[in-house]
Amino acid sequence: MNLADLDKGKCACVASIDEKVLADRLNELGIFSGSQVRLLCTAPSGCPLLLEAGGTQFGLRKEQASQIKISLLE
Amino acid sequence: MNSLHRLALCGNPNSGKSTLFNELTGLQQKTGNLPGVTVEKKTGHFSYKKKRFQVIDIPGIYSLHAHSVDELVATSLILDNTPEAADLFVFVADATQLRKSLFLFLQMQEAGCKLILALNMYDLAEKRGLMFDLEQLSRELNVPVIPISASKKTGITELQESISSFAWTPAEAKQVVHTKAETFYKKIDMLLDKVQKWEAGKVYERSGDKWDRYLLHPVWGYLSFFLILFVIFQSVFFLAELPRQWIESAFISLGSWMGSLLPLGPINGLVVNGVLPGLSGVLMFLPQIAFLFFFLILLEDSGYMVRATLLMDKVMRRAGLNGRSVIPMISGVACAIPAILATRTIAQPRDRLITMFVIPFVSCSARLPVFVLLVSLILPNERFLGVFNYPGLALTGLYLLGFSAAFGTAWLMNRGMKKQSQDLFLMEIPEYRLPHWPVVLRQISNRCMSFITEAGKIILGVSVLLWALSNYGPADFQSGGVHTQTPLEESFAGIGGKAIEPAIAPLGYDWKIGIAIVSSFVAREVFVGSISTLYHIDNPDDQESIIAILGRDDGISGATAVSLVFFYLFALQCVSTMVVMKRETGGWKWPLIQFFFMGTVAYLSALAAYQLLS
Repeated sequence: MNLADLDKGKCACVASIDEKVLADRLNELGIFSGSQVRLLCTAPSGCPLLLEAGGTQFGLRKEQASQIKISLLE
Repeated sequence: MNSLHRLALCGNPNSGKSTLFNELTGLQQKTGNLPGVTVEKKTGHFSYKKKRFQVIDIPGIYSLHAHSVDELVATSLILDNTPEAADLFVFVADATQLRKSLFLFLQMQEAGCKLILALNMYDLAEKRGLMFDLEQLSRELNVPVIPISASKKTGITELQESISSFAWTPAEAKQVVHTKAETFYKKIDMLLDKVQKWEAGKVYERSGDKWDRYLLHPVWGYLSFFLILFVIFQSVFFLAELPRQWIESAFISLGSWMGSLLPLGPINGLVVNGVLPGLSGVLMFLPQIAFLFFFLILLEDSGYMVRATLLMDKVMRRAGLNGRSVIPMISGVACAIPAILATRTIAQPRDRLITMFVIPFVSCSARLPVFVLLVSLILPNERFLGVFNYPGLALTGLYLLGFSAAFGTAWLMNRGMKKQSQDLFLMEIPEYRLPHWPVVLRQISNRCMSFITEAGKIILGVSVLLWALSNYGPADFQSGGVHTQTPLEESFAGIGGKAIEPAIAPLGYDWKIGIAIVSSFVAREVFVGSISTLYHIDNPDDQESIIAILGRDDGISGATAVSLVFFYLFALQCVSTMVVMKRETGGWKWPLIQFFFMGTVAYLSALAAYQLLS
């Protein structure tokens, strides 16, 4: 499952980030494999996504979100 | 010691650096250009205990690894090893976001920067239930830590004291060490465990976030976006009308007073019919420009601009642009030059080029005086339905047309140019925030001042030149230097205007308008000054406003005014924009393509408008 499939308002745990540049940027913001991420809402027609992780809110496009593997939190 | 100490403010975006910069330096600040690049370098001064300090404001970044041109500028300022570099860095951290701030802080410390940590918005952090052990934080980081609130003006003296008592030695050579982010964050999390505690039972939710549900909504979101833009353009017209009239009548009385004071002759003519109409033509639009900047700064500082970026990303991409193109394009409404510089946040060279290329189509504040003048010739300043005024509505339409031209061109370019790899779109969403009014006012006054000095210089020069060219002709030199009253048609300007008349006659322009257009190739707003000067020369005894003079039967007809509106809407008449384009693209190729492309669109649309209406 990847981040683009997450339901609105739900939390998940980052399992892996498949793309190098994206991983670098997220790491700089303090987001790593194992960090919690929550989908706050989306822009119209579902892209970009409005996410919260590592104490920050940020916008991310669907294509990039689909490169982030997640596991749902119990 | 009485020498000047250099320090720099740095930190993440939205950490309140500008507010602190304003608080520290007060009136003693200026913006200049960095050598080689056209980014604004903000510097200011302050004195404390008889020592003088220079402060450099460095644009906010998250990391020393730059991904786009604007980040490169910031990191090169931080890693600067020349004698002009700062010896001390005051790192401004948002106390409510300390974890993220400390990453850049540690990177800078490792690179060899000497630092003081200013914990900004400390009052807010405490209110939200965060508690810090500042002594231990200072010990662990091995730097002074000062809690401040730049907007509430607390902790500023303590910060100045700390800066003043810092052991000032020339900076050592700085260099980035490529430590993994994970290593830093492990250290940060361990540190924060020790020094930062949450007050029991307090859970903080960002206050304005519920707004996002509406402002990013598929219906309400777009509706409010366009409503905001519409309200801005309406009120720009409406609020500025009264001050505009004051300035105009002040210049008219100044003109008649100067006219009676100065002895009759060339000096009198130059001042009353050359310089004053030219200057008033520019200054009377200052209120409009000030209000426009006010609204733009409000959108930016409140955090709405970032939401607009999210909202428009998908739409913009369809036109071949990028969500990040939204902010540069909206700021293009103020001026194309800062807008072109703002495209530096776009990492993809192709997307950046397309954005820069289409920005001049967005109607800038220099066109505003031209439009206001021409629209008042076409439409009455009356209201309908009680609230809307016709000129304001026409203005909104013109801005929409400008944006459409920009999108259309981007779409065409997008089809013609090769696609590149995916662009990474990762954008932090700051909290909604009430703007800090002193900073807003300072920004408005800075921009207005630079409009007056930059545009004023050009317009003053052009008005004087134009006055000379339209008061003297070849006949003056044949008659042995004795100057008799030369009719405008026989002056140098008149001869030049008549020469180009065949080319512009199909657009409905006579030779006088031709002169004004040629003179405004330096900058669009010159048109208003030139028209004022030219029509004053023709009617030297008139003390009426320029709109009244042009509205007469021998003035500018409706069809010609509409044609002129189209011409000015699309033509690239701005030398400064072309110079900035040349610098940003590294050659004259793109600015020239832009000039001829926009010129063709302008000519053809003006032609069509006049032929249809006359």
